[in-house]
Amino acid sequence: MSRFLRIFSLYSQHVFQYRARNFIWFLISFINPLVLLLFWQGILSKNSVLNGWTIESIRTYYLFLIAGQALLIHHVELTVGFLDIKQGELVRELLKPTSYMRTRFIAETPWRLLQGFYAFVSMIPIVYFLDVSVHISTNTAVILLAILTALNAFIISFLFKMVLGFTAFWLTNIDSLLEANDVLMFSLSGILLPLNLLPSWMQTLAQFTPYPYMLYYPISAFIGIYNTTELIQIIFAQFGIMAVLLLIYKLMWHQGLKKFSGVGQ
Amino acid sequence: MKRYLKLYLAILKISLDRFMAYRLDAFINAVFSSGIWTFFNVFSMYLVTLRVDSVFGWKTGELILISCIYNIVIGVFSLLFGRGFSEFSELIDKGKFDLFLLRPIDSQFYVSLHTAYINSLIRTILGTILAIIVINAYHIPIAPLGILFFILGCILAILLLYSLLFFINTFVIWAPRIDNVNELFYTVTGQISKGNIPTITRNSLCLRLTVCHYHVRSDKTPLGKSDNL
Repeated sequence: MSRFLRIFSLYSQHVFQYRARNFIWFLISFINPLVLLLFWQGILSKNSVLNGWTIESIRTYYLFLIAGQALLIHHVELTVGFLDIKQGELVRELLKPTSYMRTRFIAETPWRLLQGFYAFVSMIPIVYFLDVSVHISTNTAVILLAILTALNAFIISFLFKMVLGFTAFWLTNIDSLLEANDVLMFSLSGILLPLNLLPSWMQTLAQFTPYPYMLYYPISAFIGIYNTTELIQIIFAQFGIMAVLLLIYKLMWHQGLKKFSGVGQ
Repeated sequence: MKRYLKLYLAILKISLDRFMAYRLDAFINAVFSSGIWTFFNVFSMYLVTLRVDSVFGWKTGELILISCIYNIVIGVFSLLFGRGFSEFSELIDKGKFDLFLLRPIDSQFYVSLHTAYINSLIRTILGTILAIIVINAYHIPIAPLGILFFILGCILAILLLYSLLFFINTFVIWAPRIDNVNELFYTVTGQISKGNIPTITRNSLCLRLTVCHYHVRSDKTPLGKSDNL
């Protein structure tokens, strides 16, 4: 355990080395929910309800989205695809006495924590200046299940991004794939709109992808959109997605290593 | 002036040759990455306005048209300045900026325009096609004089965007590791100018950045909504 803490502390130092850069990355993910929060604030009047969303719940949704994006969405695919596989840094990682997945997970966590800290700090002026009253579920069971949903989302996001990064074993250029992923993420994970405000065909499509399980469901769970039975179903679905992603991960890792070659002298 | 024009034409030719060196790969990547973002920008505006008829007097078709026009403007802007500035932090960080300062031409001109991002043309072309489709589909009236003002507005928007991007990039001289400022610039201008600005300004937030103000003005002109241009 102390070994992992030491690795965590080493990677944390790396994260704190470039605080300004990290803050700009946070700002990039912060702009979109903030603008949409203002957009809906302008559209919905005090008493109007749109597909179950009131002005208060939708404002809380976009507020939580700021924190959700910062805390839950990993960007490990860039390190895995470009640095480790394309530039050959994987050779160094393979020689380490810990598994590659564990190292990457420990290395990525400080980034999420710092971004999450930025998110929580930036939420204070939004709540204060835009007069957003945070609309959160008061049911303890729902909150506990929502925390579990968020933890699962954290793992799903990590596994999914690792799998995306592994495509660099076979593809010469993964830029287009990552851009396509960004577009799907924006559309289907709830960043653009809560899932039930999308057209029905997009809602159905989203159910067959891991995207809504990374952001939309955890955020909606905290707001209290779902009851405990529905949340348990969502959690089981998340376990299913994790199992599938883990299987794909293992397959890609073993096949990818056979393709990988690192040289040096 | 003539010398600089000649030089820029040479830069354009070199950039085009570089693009064509791996033409299939470049074309697929250009079409895919630029195309997917263009469609997403327009489609996202459609989705956001799906459940409402209008936003502060702006009808769905008009908002989607603004998204299309955003793609046209940002496509031309990226073609001219996108790649040049995206390499700026690396030039400073790796100590290559000296090469730009020592050349017998204006350093600002060369650092801004030393390479053209040909891929962005796809965005402008797709944006134009989508704009025509939207104008026809939503029967948006276009005044001929409005088109002239629109083109002028677009040119001013590009110049203002350039001023802002150049200003932001000067910070990189002191902090070369903040190589993501350009991404922040595109996110901010994109979000604010492509259509959500009517809502934001109505919410009385001080987000009327000059560049975005002009950006929207240039978008509004063909719709005949910019009386005070």
